[in-house]
Amino acid sequence: MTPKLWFSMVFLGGLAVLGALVPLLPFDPNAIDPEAMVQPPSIVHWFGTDDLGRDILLRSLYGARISLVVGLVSVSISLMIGVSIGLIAGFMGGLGDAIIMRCIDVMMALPTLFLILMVQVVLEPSMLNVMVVIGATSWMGMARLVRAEVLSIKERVFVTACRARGIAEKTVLMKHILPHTLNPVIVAAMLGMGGAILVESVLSFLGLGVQPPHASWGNMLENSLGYLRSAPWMALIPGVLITLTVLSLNFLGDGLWLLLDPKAKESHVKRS
Amino acid sequence: MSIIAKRLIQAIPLVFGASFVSFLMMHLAPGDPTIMFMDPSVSQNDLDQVRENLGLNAPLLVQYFHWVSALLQGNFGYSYITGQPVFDAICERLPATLMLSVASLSLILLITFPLGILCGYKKDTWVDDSITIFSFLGLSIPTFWLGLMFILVFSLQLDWLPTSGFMDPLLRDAPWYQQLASVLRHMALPLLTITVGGIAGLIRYNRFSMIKILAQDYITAARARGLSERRICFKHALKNALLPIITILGLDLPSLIGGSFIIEYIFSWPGMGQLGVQAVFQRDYPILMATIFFSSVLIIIGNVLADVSYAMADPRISSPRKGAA
Amino acid sequence: MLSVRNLDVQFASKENTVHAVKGISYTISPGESLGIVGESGSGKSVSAMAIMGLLPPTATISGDIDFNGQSLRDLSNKDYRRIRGKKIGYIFQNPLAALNPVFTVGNQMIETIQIHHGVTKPEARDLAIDYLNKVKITDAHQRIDDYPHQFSLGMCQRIMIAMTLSMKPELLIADEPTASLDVTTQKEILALMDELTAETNMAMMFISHDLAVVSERCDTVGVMHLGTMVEMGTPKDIFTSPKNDYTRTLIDAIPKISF
Ligand SMILES: Nc1ncnc2c1ncn2[C@@H]1O[C@H](COP(=O)(O)OP(=O)(O)O)[C@@H](O)[C@H]1O
Ligand SMILES: [Mg+2]
Repeated sequence: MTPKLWFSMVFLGGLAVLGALVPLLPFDPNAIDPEAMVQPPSIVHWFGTDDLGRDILLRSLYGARISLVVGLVSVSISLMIGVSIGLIAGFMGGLGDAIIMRCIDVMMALPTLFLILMVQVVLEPSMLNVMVVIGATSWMGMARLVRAEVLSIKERVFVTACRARGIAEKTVLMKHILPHTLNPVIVAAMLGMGGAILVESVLSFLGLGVQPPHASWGNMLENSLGYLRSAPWMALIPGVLITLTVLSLNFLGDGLWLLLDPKAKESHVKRS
Repeated sequence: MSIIAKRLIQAIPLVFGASFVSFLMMHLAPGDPTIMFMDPSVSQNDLDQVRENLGLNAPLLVQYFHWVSALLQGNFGYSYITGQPVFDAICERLPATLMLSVASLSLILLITFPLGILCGYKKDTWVDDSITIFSFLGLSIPTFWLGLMFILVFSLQLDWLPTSGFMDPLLRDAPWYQQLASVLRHMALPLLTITVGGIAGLIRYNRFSMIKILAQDYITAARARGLSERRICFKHALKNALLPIITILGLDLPSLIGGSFIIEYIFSWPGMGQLGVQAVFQRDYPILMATIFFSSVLIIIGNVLADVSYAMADPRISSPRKGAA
Repeated sequence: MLSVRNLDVQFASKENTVHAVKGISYTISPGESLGIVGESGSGKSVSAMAIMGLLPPTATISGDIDFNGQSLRDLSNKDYRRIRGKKIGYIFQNPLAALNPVFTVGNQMIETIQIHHGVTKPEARDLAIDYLNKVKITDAHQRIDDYPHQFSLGMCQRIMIAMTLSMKPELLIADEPTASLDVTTQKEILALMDELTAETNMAMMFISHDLAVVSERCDTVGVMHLGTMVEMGTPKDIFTSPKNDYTRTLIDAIPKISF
């Protein structure tokens, strides 16, 4: 365990626990307090208050719930799409594979952010839509990765051995190939979750993600725009939280990669 | 040379794919898609004619076909809001976007490359560790927030640079060098923001490819011939490290361009990105659709350029083996 | 000219320590050729790389390496560069991997010649072409501008030999120079090396896993096994009265047909 991994586990674990427990507290994150508007951090309000006198610490913790849930759900969606398409493409090979890969190329060339924005304005922006749309536009890398793994595994002897024993293609696929693609997929999922959290923050910042009064880090940032000079903590705190969360996920992905992938390790130490 | 032709031909279906998705998005949007082709000055009768021509009730693919042939004639429709032809609106914005992306791409390469090489060369020292941590941070910071922080520090607190825009409007009649200086000052913060975000990812790739290269036999062989470390690093390793960077840059292009759009919006930089985000808020679908289409084309062109330059830079592709050896 | 005493190399990593070379000693006099045989992984390359001073930083080295009365282990990197290539040449097992893929063969040869002989670029180019002719590359004046991948593996090894000899080293270390080649090419390369070394009074250290190849062309033969030098002597001694069991298995492994 490296210090980076420790930091990530503690930070994410802490955030998840606090986010899970915060609704049990008898405080309302949307409670407006005209007496305490735009206050800098203090003993009462550790992270200060916003323009409506709402406690930023409390809202940040509710924001953490949103970010973590959006991250998890979007990544699960992109995992399901990406892994299935990657498996199918890799296993089919030939023309089917070529067609799928060209479609992925097209998807990769599209400016995903605008696609998401367009969908969000056409449908109405809701948290469910945010998660589905992020998931549906971020699976391409995962699919390519899984396909590449399948292609290389397919060449190995044991798959041929399975076929020779008369095991059905589907069984070979699910029982013998899928588990081998697991490690890189876990790593990609960690990085993808960080990416999803970043996209959600952009959407909410533009007012097309999680809608007020519900607190999300992105819409807290949007809210801070008019107060950049007078109340910089309003912009500082959500941004730092997003950064630390995504940083932890990236550290975790990188750390797992070193742990799980023998090739990565080799490139770290080997010199012959 | 045939490689360039081959890549260009391969890019054509991608452009059509991108246009089809843009068309589908347009179709998804509420309202009558023919309106977008309506010149604001035409009468109701003419509009009916347009409808007739486009075959409103024709099947989706036929509609797509009509739409593409309109595109091929440079007719991207008219903005819902201003009535300006979309093609003109995009062309107006293209220079600012290209300016920002070419500048940031060059800056990113100029900074990343030496740093990545240094990291790989000084693997597992404090230099490497600190650059690695920095690059992780850069990967994790939301770029739009970084932009806000730069505005907070460099514009609001220190008052060094303007917060937004392209050029000081008071300089409209000033000599060109004053105008240029003003544009550069306005470009500084968005450029810095995009560059910091872009550097981060690339340094990591660069570091890994350098580590892999330094472990190759030809590096040991060069040492065994008594070449200096400087020559080995800056000649023998460097050129090999350049190759993967070209590919990675091509792959990173979508996120670089996508990321720069939101930065354009934050800094009111009058590029395609700002146009697109505004179009989102105004529900100006023709503009939005054209933005999606044009940025895909930019990305596809970038990828073709990356592939072609890779092919030209790598002698294993550009100089084929000669017959029997 | 070269004397190695109690050379010991260990590679330490987090998980384990590999004791690659366990205190070996030998000497090579001017003009003499020493052959080192041993199976793959017995420490041949590591001990040779130790002489070049090119082991990775993970290696812990002890023992003495003297070259012409100078202790190589005390040399600064700068002084070592005057030895590498110029005094001690090294031929690698895989010639294609040992040539930089993105520079032409000529570029790499000219660079090497210029560094060690201080000649102008056109002079260096002429010299390079001379040496390519010597190793029997046809159309050398044209092919000098080709990239390594445009040559066959055997040709690449000829180029490596030309490049190494162009520095006129006093000692040549050939680390399994034919192991990556097919059988007929192996014979050609060995014949070429015999021919070229006969012209000079160069000392040689010839590493191979093939006892027959080594004993045909070396004055002394050392047998390495798991990092130790289990036996050393003239080829005749080794064949007639091997003292070590491992040597005996090596002798038994030689196809009888080659005698
Ligand atoms: N850079 C290195 N790090 C760790 N172990 C190494 C390294 N280089 C060689 N070894 C180990 O040292 C031993 C001897 O290797 P080597 O000298 O290359 O054998 P050979 O006799 O085939 O040339 C082997 O067990 C090898 O795994
Ligand atoms: Mg060896």
